[in-house]
Amino acid sequence: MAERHDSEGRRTETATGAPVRIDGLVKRFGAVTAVDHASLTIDAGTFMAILGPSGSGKTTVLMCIAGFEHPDDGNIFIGERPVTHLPTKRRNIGMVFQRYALFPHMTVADNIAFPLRMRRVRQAEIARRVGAALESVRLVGYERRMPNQLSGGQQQRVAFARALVYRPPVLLLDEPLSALDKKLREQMQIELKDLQRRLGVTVIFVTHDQQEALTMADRIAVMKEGRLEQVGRPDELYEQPATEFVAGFIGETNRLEGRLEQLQAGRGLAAINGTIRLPGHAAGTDGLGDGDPVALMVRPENVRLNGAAAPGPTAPGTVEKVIYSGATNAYVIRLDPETTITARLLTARGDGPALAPGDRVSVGWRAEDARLFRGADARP
Amino acid sequence: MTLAAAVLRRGLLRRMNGRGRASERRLGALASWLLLSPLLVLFLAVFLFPMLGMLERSLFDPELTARHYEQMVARDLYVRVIWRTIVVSAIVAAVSLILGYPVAYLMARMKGWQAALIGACVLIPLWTSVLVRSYAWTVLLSRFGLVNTWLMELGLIEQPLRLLYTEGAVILAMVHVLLPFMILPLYAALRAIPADLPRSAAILGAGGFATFRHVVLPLSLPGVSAGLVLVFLISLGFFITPALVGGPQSLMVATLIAREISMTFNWGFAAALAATLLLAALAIVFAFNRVLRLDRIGDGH
Repeated sequence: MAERHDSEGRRTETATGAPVRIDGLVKRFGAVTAVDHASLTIDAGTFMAILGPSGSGKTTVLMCIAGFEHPDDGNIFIGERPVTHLPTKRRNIGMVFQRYALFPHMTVADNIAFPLRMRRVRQAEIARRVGAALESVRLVGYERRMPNQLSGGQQQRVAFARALVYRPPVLLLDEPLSALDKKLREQMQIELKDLQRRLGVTVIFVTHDQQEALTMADRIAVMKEGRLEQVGRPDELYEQPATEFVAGFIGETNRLEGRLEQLQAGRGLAAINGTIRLPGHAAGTDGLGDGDPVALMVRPENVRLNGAAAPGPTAPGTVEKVIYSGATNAYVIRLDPETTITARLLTARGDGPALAPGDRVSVGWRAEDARLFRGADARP
Repeated sequence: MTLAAAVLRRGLLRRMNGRGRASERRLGALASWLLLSPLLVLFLAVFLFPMLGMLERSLFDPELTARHYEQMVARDLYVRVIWRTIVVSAIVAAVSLILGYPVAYLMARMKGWQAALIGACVLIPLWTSVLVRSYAWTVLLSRFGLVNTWLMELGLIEQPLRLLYTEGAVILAMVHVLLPFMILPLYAALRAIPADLPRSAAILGAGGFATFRHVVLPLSLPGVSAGLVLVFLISLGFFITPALVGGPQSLMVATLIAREISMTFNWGFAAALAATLLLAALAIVFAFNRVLRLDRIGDGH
């Protein structure tokens, strides 16, 4: 990272982030393995989201980095320093909790000054830095307020000011936006991302909200049942999910079960209920052969109707439902008595006449827009 | 964490963050009063009414007179006993706090069966009669009781010490009896501190002691004050324990009042003593709350 300067051109103290490395992390709670050999490298200054459903172990990873939980195996490094056995107070990381965790008996200024007092910073310096921190979160004039006299969004900003006032190289976020209403949350997402870029701090952000992860993160690590499923850029995870779980967890998706046919150069057809044949892309799924059960995953926006730029096999269907949702329309199309598929088209795209329930359509997609994963069940 | 605990925690957090809406937190005024009314009636009938009767008796026995109060002030003994009662009660409250805080702290930090075990150790004595527990102390502390026997066997003393019928014995036995009344409010206050707060103190650079001093202790002050007031007030009127383990030198005011009623039938004078005690207690608690400014701690509504 380049040297950073504050508004008056002075070089700011440690403003750059540190890399974080997790190596073979294992954490068990009794018989449950919450984190199962997770390894993850987070470059300095990266905004990394750890995404997963509840119980996937994402919070436990964060707790281990913070030092609130002690791993059963594996190591954690911040910069070059192993911190696995270091007490929390000496790790020098910042954290914003889901419910902000402001000290209710201290004023806003005292809350923000707390980490500086613990570091025995001089009184004059504390006053200066608290003032600057309040300015950076636009809360000047709120010094003497108690936390319960602030709105949720303001408490949130105080929590960020407190977590950043001592310029930690790493900031941990435990679903800090989940308690805010939608509009405020979206505004905070932008502010937070902006703050992170400005400071160059490494952020590790735990969330179950895939939309939030896609919007904010430079990289996303998807966790399932204590294991890391895939780590990559948001677009990689969205467009090239490595597993069926990732494909299903991030974004909307259609899932069709069938048997693999005509596998050639990573492309094949899924035969669904014996009659329908639709194409997909099976890269990265080793050992898959003709006749194996497969799950075909395709995003609604990649489904093409009535041959619109969809070379290759198609299937006939009937429009069952049209769901208007502003910029796009979702069309639920029945392919056979047991199978429906959702297609999402821009409302204003003007791809021919609007479709209505009962219309007959042909459904297809480019083979590279759909993915074939090994299916779990052995349905004929 | 169990679901119930999670729900409870959410509720507490919501209150701490002041996020709950008024309608969620408050019943309608009418419903509240209706629910309170049985207790209110009971209070009026068996508490407030007799107390007013007592105040009346202290002033109108047989006609309007300050005689009983004059008699009380005239004899040094009564003032001394009231003063001693207040001092002993304050010592009992302070010792209970010092002994009880670590227990409550441990109890709040433990999980599952460990917390239950400590809780049982605190609560079970509460279910045994005060009389039994006070008698037990007379056995332990008497001239040839367990404590003296052991001390002599260990060669620490030559002659048995006079332990029973001293102020020390009264304080010891009262602390033992009243400790749960200190531990339980402390535990409730400590338990109500969300785990995120000590954690965030740690991540901000505070060690164990600093976290306790700057976060846990200030947030537990409502429990400290509740425990102190509770133990102090119960101590003021304590009768059985001082009567059993105390001597003439450690006479407490409740014993004196009982004596005036049952032995000399001097109801008016007993009422004057009781009224003085009541006023002294109210004044002390009021002053105490003013000093601690408890309304400013916590969520400050």
